Amino acid sequence: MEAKTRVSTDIEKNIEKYKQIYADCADIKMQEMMLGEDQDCKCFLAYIEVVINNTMLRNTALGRCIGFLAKLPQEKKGTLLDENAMGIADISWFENVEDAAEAMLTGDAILFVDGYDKAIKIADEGYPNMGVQESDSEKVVRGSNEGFTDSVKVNTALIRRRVRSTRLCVKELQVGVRTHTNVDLVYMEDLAYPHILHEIEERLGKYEIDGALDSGVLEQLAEEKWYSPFPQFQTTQRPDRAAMAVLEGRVVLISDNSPIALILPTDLNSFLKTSDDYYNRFEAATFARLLRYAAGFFAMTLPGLYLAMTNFHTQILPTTLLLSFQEARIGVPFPAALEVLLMEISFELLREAGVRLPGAMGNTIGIVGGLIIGQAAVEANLVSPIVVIIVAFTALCSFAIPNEEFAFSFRILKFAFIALCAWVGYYGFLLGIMAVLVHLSRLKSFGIPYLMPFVGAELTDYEDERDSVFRYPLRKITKRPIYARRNERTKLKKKE
Amino acid sequence: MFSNNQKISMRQTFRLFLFDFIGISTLVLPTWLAGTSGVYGVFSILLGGVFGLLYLLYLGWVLNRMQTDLFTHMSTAGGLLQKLLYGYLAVSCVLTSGFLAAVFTRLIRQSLIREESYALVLLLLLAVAGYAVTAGIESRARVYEVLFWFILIPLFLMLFFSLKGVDMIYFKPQYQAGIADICKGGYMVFLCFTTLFFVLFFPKYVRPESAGRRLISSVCWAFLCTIGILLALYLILLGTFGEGALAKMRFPAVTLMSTVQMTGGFLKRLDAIMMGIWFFTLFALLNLNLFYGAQMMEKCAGIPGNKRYAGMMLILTFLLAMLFEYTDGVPEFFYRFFWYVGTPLLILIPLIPVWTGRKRK
Repeated sequence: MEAKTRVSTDIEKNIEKYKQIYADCADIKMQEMMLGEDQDCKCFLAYIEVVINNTMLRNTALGRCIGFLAKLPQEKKGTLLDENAMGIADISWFENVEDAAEAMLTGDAILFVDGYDKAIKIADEGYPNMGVQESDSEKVVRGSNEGFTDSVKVNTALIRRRVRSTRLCVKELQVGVRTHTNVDLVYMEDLAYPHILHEIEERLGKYEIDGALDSGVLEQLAEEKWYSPFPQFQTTQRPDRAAMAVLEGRVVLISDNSPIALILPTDLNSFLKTSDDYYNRFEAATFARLLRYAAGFFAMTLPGLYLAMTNFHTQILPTTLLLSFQEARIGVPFPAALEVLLMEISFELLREAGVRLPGAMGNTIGIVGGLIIGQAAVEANLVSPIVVIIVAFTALCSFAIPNEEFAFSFRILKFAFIALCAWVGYYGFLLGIMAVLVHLSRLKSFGIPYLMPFVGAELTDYEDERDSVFRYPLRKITKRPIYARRNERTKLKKKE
Repeated sequence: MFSNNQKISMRQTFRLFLFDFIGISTLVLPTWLAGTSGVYGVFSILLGGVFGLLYLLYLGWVLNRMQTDLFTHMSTAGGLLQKLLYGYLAVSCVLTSGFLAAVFTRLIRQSLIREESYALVLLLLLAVAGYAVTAGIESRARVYEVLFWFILIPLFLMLFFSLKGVDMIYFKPQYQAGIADICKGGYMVFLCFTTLFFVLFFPKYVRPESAGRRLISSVCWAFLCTIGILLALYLILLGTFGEGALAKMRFPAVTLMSTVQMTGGFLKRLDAIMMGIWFFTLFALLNLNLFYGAQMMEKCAGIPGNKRYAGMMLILTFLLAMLFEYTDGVPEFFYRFFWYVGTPLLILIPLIPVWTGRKRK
């Protein structure tokens, strides 16, 4: 490890070293200035362009500091700087030039004062970001509309705003040997299991990576079964969802530069819940959940089941329905399997194109693809109308799944089901269901079986089942789920 | 918190055993019973139930004497005796797996994909079974805990709707079966429930380990539920087809499903969909045999490597199932072996740990 250079009382040495560290960095602004009562105190200010607001300099902490130094008698400056006599809230001191240089990259300004043997870091506006905006991937009818931003600090503040408890802990880590990305672990000290915290830290520390530019990178590095199509971390863009998870005893991982927080541990049931399930009455929430579970099943199996029924087991369908299927297929030159596959791939293409294109154009592509191309394909006898209906219904089902990563696993598996059912009909469907179930039964997220609370429910005295497919009335859900420490399970009780 | 310890709960034990029992018994027993004791097959089922309960009580007594599972108990017994026991049980598991895989494949071909090759259907089945076996008992128990109501509710509904087709005239016996026939039928029923033997290995897998009595009670409930379902199904089958026709049918329960008409139902025939019941239940039993077969092989060889033995089990099962299909003598040998040797041995084997335990004292 390279030896670090101590901050010298001779400011010229500090300036020389600093400039050496940031040679060829045009975005780093380094400003020398003469301050003090008689303009005899040399200071050196370094910051990243844009992150320090020049026009607002007077009103910011940095501005106050410079103003303070301008009036400071030479002999008192060391003591007063040490004592933070400027009254700046976010200030820190560094004894090494390298540490100060690295700290500047968090978006703060670094100040060297001649004759003072420490570098001072003063927070300012920080890096530009989009600010708190509406979450666009987890819309709710009822509840807060705030979404996470790209700034880890803003995101933790959004959680703390909702959980105003002294027991809410935020542990800061750094990931990426080059990016030094800040990663915050947010949890309730008395609810979360300590071994889960250790495990996530251990998993993150297992790899030395250049940079983690999004929480998705951390997710992939830390997941147990990398080959599984099912996500082993729950993702959210909603601070209220994250706050809810924290209150359940789970750990929320927030990565700087990413508006997506990871929640761990997780299970299949959590992916099919939404925030407003708890804000709405239990009948509405239960109905919505039933719909989502059914949607998940059909998003994965419907095209395959259609193929199995029409190609292999026609005896199941009523004769009139079968005849109408057959009539619809008259003139279509492709076998049914190819027809379904072509339509599914076309739909996935449309979806991908819609996502990549700018907002208004994305909507247009949906209309062009869905209506015009679909209609044209039916009229040209390339596909039958029934297949268009099947594919559209499957897509609708996949959109009803509240978590995008989870929905994606069903979209991928749908193709496996199409292949199996086209090959061996309903037998393929049964084999596929069995294989998926076995796979899910093997999956775990930080020791919690993925199929909780449908399995092992007796461990929580069957309390977790009250918040699964059926959501019991809120006053009946008195216990925290299995994620919380065993002796801290009660979350609701009547006042004495 | 959850620990990854390959242990299952009592609810999982109950559900796992229920599925292990239901599959083969509801599939093959009605034909066998109709052939041997006709209408009196009902008494054979009840007698088989009594045999099963007595056997379970006996196993409970053995478990109580051992104070642990058979694996742990036998680890202190003599090397040769241990190897002989595990060797025999491995062979027994291989034979049962082969038989089950053959029945399974025939059923799939007959009911779902008649034109597909036997070997391909078998291979696909064993591929998924292999994936399930390597997952261990915990995973298997979870699968069946989830599937429980998805299988039982449709089964009960179908039994209920099939009551419409029952004609009381068929309950009049066509021939008088003697006590010997009823006893033979009872033994047949018991033969289908020899899976009960695996209870001896279960203390190792259940939570808490000391719950010997609760384990027996869970298995007992699973057994009684199966006997109840079997009884209801047999009566419905008798009332729908009559004993003569029933004795000639290959898989009468599946045929029954094809005759069921649901009032206001959208689908015309439900047999293909209801095949799911037998798919999942037979799969449970096949998996059980593959799992324990691999365990027995591992214990017998004394070299660890569960995946290797699971692979061997799969290969042997495939070969045996092929023999079952294409060789006339093999099914006959299987039936005779289990009728005269296999089942009596499964009654005697539990005495070995009692004997070795006494000797040790």
